[in-house]
Amino acid sequence: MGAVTVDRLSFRYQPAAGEVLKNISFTVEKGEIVALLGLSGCGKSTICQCLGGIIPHLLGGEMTGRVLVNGKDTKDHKVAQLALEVGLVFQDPDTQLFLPTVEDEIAFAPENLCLPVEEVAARVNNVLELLGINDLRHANPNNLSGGQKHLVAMGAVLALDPGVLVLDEAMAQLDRDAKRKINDILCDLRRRGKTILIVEHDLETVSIADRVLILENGLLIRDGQASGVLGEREFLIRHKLKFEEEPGMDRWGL
Amino acid sequence: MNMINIDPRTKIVVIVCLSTLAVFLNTPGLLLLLFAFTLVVLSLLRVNFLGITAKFKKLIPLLLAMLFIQSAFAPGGEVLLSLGGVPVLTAHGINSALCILFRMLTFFASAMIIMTSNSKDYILALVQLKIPYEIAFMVMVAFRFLPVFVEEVKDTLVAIQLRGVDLQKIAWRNKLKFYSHFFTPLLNSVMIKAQQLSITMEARAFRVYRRRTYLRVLRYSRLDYLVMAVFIISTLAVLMLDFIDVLQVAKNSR
Repeated sequence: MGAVTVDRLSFRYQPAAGEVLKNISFTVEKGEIVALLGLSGCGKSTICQCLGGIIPHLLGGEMTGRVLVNGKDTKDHKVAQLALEVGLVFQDPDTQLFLPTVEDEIAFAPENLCLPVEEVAARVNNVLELLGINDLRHANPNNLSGGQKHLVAMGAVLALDPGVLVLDEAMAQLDRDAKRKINDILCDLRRRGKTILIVEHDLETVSIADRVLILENGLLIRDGQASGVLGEREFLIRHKLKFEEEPGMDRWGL
Repeated sequence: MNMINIDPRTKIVVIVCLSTLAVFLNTPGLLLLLFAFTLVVLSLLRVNFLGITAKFKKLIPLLLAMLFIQSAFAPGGEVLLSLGGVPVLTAHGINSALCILFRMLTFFASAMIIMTSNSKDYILALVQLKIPYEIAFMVMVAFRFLPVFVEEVKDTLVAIQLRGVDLQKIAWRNKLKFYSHFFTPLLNSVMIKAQQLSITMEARAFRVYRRRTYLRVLRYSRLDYLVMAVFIISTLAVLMLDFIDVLQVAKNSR
């Protein structure tokens, strides 16, 4: 059994509405980086919410099929319990940061786990070290740049030490340098045995992925090795995941 | 005296004492003295006076309106101003209006003591005062959302003005309709942010156990004990004197 197993998953937000996810099945093995690609509104974020148990526990709707994270069925475990297995980093860091200092923010999750104070302090130090944000320890998250906020939001989740890390377009607002830095950190986490699911619509961000899943209108239309799928130029253009020519490049003589 | 580092629990005691005195004292002279003392406390806590003055400036029209309304509706004593034989300003009216004015100013000023510690300190303070941690965090999140709410109001007003609505030129009868259009998206946006924040907290294992640990623990210093003793004893003494005074007045009136 994989670290993540999604088995014939279908979901609709309201009984009368159309299906957002249509009979999706895939598995992610331990230590694998998988990129989930698709256009806006294709159901990527809904899959993330299913992985973290937000669906069906916190958001309404009709869900059929099964989602297992490290063998735990998300239907049988509350979001807070699943947080021990799966860490979710969302797109907007402003709604994820709510404490007055970066240290408090990162300590929040291990404090919830009732860990001894020494262990909480050790986790905070490790995460600050890993992300290279030791100098921001006492800073107010509201005063940080967009890239720094993303790092803090990711650190706050990493402090839980989850086996599976899900990034829901967490790099969408970052510049190239910041994306590169986060990709380096993700590669480091893979070496430490973490399973990572990157949800994106930008192909450049997912260059570190081992496997790629492509979602279109709630259907999983492709599941293959990253080197193969990302090389299929015609396929990517047909599904609007890649432009025929980079827009604006000609105009600037690039 | 360096009061800047006093424990947040001590600050809560100081606020409770000042507010209690503001409620029970009922002569303008004593209330003015209390307000002046509150300003001294604020200066010892190194509160930015320019910021306070700016905040008080916005309250001046409201306080002036209260002053006139109160003096007009609490007649008694010597008539200082009358219109067509009807007393508009009386000595008793002005007396009670001044009481309310200084009472309100003391409330506002003492509430500013809250701003001298960060929200996490108050969570720790409430938890160490045996308040359930869920409630302590709810209080903190409410504080966190005040600036978000103000920001949302500003953004919504700018968005409305960018669509060509001149707020100055709207007739009063149409303003009600305008505000119904204004508050619906505002409420919607704040609700979404609140939901996202609660999802984030649960996804970081909030309330997974009945207890949680804390990286930092608050400890009282000698100064804290001294400040609390001075404030509690003084408040009790003033209340006792006030009570004796009330009994004396009641006895004399018999």
